[in-house]
Amino acid sequence: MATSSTSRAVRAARAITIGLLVLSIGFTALVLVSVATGLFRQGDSLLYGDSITVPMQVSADDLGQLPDGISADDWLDVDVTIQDPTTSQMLLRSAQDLGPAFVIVWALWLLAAVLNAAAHGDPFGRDNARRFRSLAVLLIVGGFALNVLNYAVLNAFYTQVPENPSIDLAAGPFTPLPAGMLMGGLVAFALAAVFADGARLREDVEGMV
Amino acid sequence: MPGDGHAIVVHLDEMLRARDMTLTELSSRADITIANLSVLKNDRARAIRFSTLTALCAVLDCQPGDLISYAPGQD
Repeated sequence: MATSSTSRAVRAARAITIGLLVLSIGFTALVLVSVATGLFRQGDSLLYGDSITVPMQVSADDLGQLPDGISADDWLDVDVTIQDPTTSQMLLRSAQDLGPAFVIVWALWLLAAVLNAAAHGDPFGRDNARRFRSLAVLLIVGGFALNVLNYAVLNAFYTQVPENPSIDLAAGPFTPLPAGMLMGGLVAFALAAVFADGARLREDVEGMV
Repeated sequence: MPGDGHAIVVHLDEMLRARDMTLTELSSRADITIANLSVLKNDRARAIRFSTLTALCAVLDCQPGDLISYAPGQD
């Protein structure tokens, strides 16, 4: 049986999760409205206006000689501003926000459902085990998909940023899977196994006469 | 019909009918909740405590084998 302090903690976690979910849905809706206005105004979107900033990398060789004792990585993160973006550039930039937003909304939705069941004193059900499995797949597959999407978008931008003869730009390194999402996914898989066992044990207890 | 990976059938319904006894009466005499008897009667039980079996056998004046049986092929 849950203690009152546990219930308070679960209720607080549920309230925070639902708050974050509402904010995420609001942000996603804002990006979608921004895309719609950008389509209507040929690239001048609500969120990014008449200039968009694209993360790129610049070769350290282009920075010139650094003072002794100071060194730079081979490639350094920089932001390149594109003035008066085209509709396709606006869509590419929006995709960088929409992809993570959809994953975050989906993950928070699953987490809110888990916490909702826990707040009602029924955490060890088959539904929660299924939700944790979905969350695990979402974090691992979604994390990989987001990185692929981001890299594809950066490469598409790379071909469109204004050329600068004195600077060597690159689209950035490709990391297949963010470590945080991989760890989160593995933890969710472990929790799914624990909750599936918990659900089975609960059904056994409920079936004991 | 048994389920959940077992082939044990509970004959509580037949036993009650044969004795013209209601579930409420059995609940009261055996000191077992109607909810638990209902679980037994509807083949939703996964396990029976010896104390439950003892109380049922005492009230129904029967042996455990009269209450439950093994029915392979029905799981």
